Amino acid sequence: MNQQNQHSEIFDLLNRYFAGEAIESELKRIDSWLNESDENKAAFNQYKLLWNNLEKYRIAKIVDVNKEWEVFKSRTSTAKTFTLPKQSTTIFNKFTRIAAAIILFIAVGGLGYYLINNIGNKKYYAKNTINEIALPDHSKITLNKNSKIIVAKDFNKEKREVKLIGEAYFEVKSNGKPFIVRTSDIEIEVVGTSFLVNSVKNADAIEVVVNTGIVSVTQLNKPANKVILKKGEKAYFRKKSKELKKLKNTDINFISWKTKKLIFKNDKLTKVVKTLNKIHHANIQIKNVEIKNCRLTASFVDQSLESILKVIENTLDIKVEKKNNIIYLSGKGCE
Amino acid sequence: MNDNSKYISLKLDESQFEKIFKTHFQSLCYYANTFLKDLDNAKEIVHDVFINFWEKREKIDINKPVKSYLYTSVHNRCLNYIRDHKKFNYSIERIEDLSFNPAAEQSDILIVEELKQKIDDILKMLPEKARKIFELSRFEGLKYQEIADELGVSVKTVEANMSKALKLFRENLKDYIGLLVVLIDLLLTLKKML
Repeated sequence: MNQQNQHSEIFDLLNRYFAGEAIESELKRIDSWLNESDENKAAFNQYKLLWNNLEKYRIAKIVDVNKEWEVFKSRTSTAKTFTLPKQSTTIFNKFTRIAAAIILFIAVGGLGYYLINNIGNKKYYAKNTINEIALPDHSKITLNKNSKIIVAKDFNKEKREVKLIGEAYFEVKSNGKPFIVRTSDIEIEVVGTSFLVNSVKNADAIEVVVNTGIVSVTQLNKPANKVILKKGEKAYFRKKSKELKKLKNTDINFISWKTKKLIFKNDKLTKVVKTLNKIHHANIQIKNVEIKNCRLTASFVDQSLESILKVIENTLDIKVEKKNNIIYLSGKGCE
Repeated sequence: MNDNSKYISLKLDESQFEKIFKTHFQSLCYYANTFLKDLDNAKEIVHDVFINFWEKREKIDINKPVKSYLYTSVHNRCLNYIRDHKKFNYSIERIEDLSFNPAAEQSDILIVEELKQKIDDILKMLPEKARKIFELSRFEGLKYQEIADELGVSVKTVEANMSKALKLFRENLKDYIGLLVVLIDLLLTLKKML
């Protein structure tokens, strides 16, 4: 019986390890268990094989090879012609036909190549869906709804310049050439990093939030008005006063619209409501003061507003009522 | 039509490249993921390797082993990524070997159809709760705490269900995987002989 218990104890420990949940002390225990005997090492490797196959199963299910080939082709072609996409996936379908035509065209005539390369500024749009764009330098831009990107004609010659109207998340690949994002009032310059720019047309401020790397934010034509941001920092530019401020980013969900992941860690209901209103374009209002300080700890991955509200209903004992497109939250309150 | 010569001089044409891409993409993602434990970045690295390979294709002799070139490139980029992002996964460094060892991954097929089917079947055998928890952990990549929050249960419940699920997999795949390893080895040896 003791053998059995020890057996299942080891499996529990290994399960935690392979799931990435093991803590320091557990890692040490596994390490010493491994060093006890060759049988243990062999058992470990066999169990690892099981986990590996589960992982292979997952990858085989998630990674669509044909889709990835289309993505690959769109990144390696020498020119792009885009029409206003209805859904981000249809770009690649339309694209393979165009790509095939272009490759053939180039093979047949060098003059054609020259002409294609000088079509002009390339424009990308996102209307009702989020649009992912791969740039010729392998950088990636994810455009939020109702946003637009214009890529400079000489992109990736000596520098990489784009113009943004709206909101987009940038993942810039390092290639030595500065990557510059211009908005109505400020420009953002990086070499290789990932960051968010929110420059919606009628908003009275522009925000830049850095996810990785180092980013410099400067007011257009006023090089002295500049801040340098690193991971976890945010620039806030007030259009009227031309004030450019550097702040800490406290909003962990700043790219939820892209990642579809919402994380709340002991957050006040007021903050939760503010985030939900923004991400889901909702109008949620808190009816009584008592519940304002209720705190929520939850993670939502690709969940509809309805299911998120259901969780809030149940965990915080809150009533959710919908009237004329406004959602009212009420309840007794929390400790 | 003399301009066709430009086309022929390419050592590796697009359809050959496509074949190589489609054959190895998933396996390379799996390989990169073993280092990064992050499928999105693993995919990006594999894409980068193929883009790089595409750009160099005129210089590459397709009679040399393309596969080892690809695996080596992915391996190097993963190590660089870990170093640059200080994505220090303590467990990887300490308990497993970061050195170049794709021996186990040399099969072109990431996972044989039979095994995929078997895993499908075992998943169906699990009770609803255990299956849901297992899928959230292994397929969605959520941490135990996140799963607990999402489903409104305790972390202990999540762990217990994971144990339950894995025990079922252990019991039902034990002989299967051993057998498959032998089969794959046989196939590889046969391949080398032909």
